Amino acid sequence: MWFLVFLFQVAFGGEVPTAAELLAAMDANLQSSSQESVTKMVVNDGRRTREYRMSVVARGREDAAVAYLEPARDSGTKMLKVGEQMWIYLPRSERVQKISGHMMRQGMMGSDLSYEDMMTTEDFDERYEASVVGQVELAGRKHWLLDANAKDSSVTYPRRKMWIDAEYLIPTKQELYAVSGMLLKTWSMADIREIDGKNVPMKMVIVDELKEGSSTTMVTESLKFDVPLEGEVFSRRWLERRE
Amino acid sequence: MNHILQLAARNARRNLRRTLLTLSTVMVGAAFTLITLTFLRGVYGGMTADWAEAFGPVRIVTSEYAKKEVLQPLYANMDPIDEVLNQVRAVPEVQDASGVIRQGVIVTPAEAEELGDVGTLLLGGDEAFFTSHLKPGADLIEGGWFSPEEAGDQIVLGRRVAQQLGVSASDEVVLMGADQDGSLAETRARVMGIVSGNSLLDAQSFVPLETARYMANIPDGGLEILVYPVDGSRSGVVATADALRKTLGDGYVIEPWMERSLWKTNLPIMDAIEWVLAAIVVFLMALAIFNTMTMSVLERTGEIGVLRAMGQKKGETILVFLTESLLIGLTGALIGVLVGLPFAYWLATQGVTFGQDVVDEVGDSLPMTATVYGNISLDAVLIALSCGVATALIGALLPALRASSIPPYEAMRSRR
Repeated sequence: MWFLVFLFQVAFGGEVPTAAELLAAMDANLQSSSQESVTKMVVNDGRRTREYRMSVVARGREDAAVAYLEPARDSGTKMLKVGEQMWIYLPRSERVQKISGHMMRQGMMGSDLSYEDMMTTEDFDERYEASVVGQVELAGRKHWLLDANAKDSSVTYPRRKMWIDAEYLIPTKQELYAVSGMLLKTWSMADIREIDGKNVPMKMVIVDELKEGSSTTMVTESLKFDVPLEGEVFSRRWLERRE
Repeated sequence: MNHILQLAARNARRNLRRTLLTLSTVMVGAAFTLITLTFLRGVYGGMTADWAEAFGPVRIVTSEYAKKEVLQPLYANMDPIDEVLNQVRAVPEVQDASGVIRQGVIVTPAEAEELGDVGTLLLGGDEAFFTSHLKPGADLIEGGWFSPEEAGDQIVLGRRVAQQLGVSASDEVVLMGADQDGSLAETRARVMGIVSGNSLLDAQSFVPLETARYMANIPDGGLEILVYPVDGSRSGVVATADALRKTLGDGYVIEPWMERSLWKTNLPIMDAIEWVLAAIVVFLMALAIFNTMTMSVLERTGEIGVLRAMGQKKGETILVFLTESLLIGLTGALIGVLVGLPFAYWLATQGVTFGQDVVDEVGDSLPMTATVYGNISLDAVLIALSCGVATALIGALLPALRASSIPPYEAMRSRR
């Protein structure tokens, strides 16, 4: 109950919240014990556009299981993330491959989103020292501008700037920088809808600023929160199971 | 002219020991030239022929691919490729042409837990390419080539790749790479055979075009068109490339093998080595001839004076010495070629074995073979003979000029 009061204060109160309060409010908005979605990923590399459809099952913030449904070439490919570990199942070679090392920085299915981007979302508080710069307007809406600097420069993005919608408590825009100050990626979220009492961005656009003309759009086609999960989903057995 | 020839022959016989010594020098030089050229041309010729066979005497790629080739831009492909291939095959200078895809992949034994770190250049081509151009230069050391009876993907590994992986024919391997969009591409393939040929071949892996198309996600295309001209000589290859440029127009880069970056740098060096070698041999032999002729002039100063006093012209004096020198040079060169030919033949048939270690050391930069064979050519024989003639002319010119410039009265005085 106290959290809802806090959310209300952050959203509508006149006081400037701390970064920790903002991040906690963001988490509270999107957190669920489980969720199930079907997402369309549109990758435009400036040359041609490809579409992927995938079913995603998530448990808390730690675990996720992704199964590619389309196109036919990639159908059957699965990805499993449990804690800080990630594996991919390659159907043609019937092989489970742990994603580590140089593979982490590769674009997932050639998209602007790297495997590492998928891995390093949950330990934000531990890795970054964030501060609220102030309130700014973005696309006609009030946002809190958060500036986060990595505590350890070995992280992929040593600096992040986040524009958090003051009402929806969603980072509608993020800029990710290298240690040199070069802008590496821009993430933006749009089409915010209320689902099961939560404000959810149904569209996310990731732009790898180092790839000319490239962008990846993730569109959530269906989404359910707090769904009962099959026990096997977050296991290697699920990964190797042929659908 | 006859009396000049007689005089030259008589002079050559006058100091037989010195003439034989000079003749031996020229003979050794000519034999050395022939043997060395045979060996060098064998090495270079073998390398360039093997390379051109595998990478195409003439190669066609898109302009975009040529610009970024070092990055292997699979997206800069020709898809569909059939229309371009038909245009290429219709050019009269073209004997045949094949569409191929080359891409870097990581290959791992199928049963291995972790993804390995063995990288290989995966070459996918049509059946005609393998049958006509790759199989003749590749020795199957295990298993066989692709089989229509075998279901699933098939692969033939180069000797070094198989060795690094520790796999044999009939084992399975997993190929992992990126497709033209940078997305993960993978497949499992049965090792049909293991081949060995040269250092390039040993480091590559071969798959049917369909498998390569799947890996690169280029459904009906190819990355390169390798063109084999009717006339495979250097001039024939250049003419074919010119004809193709006229046919295909802009948008493509059409290169004869000599213009590809590897050979653009190395060919002039190879040619220069031949010329430097020939120049050294000519110089050394010319020194010997020069010495002989100078001695001859000094010994015959009085005689030259008498002949000049009797009316022999300057030009005739020069001709006598040049002819003597030519007789020695040409005879020495002919004997040298005859002596060198058996050695050259031995090089061409038996070859020099460097061993597999040297091949592995060379890596995949040049197509080096474990045994290198010489290449006897009429060209090399003519160069060896020309060296004898050039030597004779260069070495005798100064002494001959000197002899012709001695005034008759001085020559007569020196005789007293």
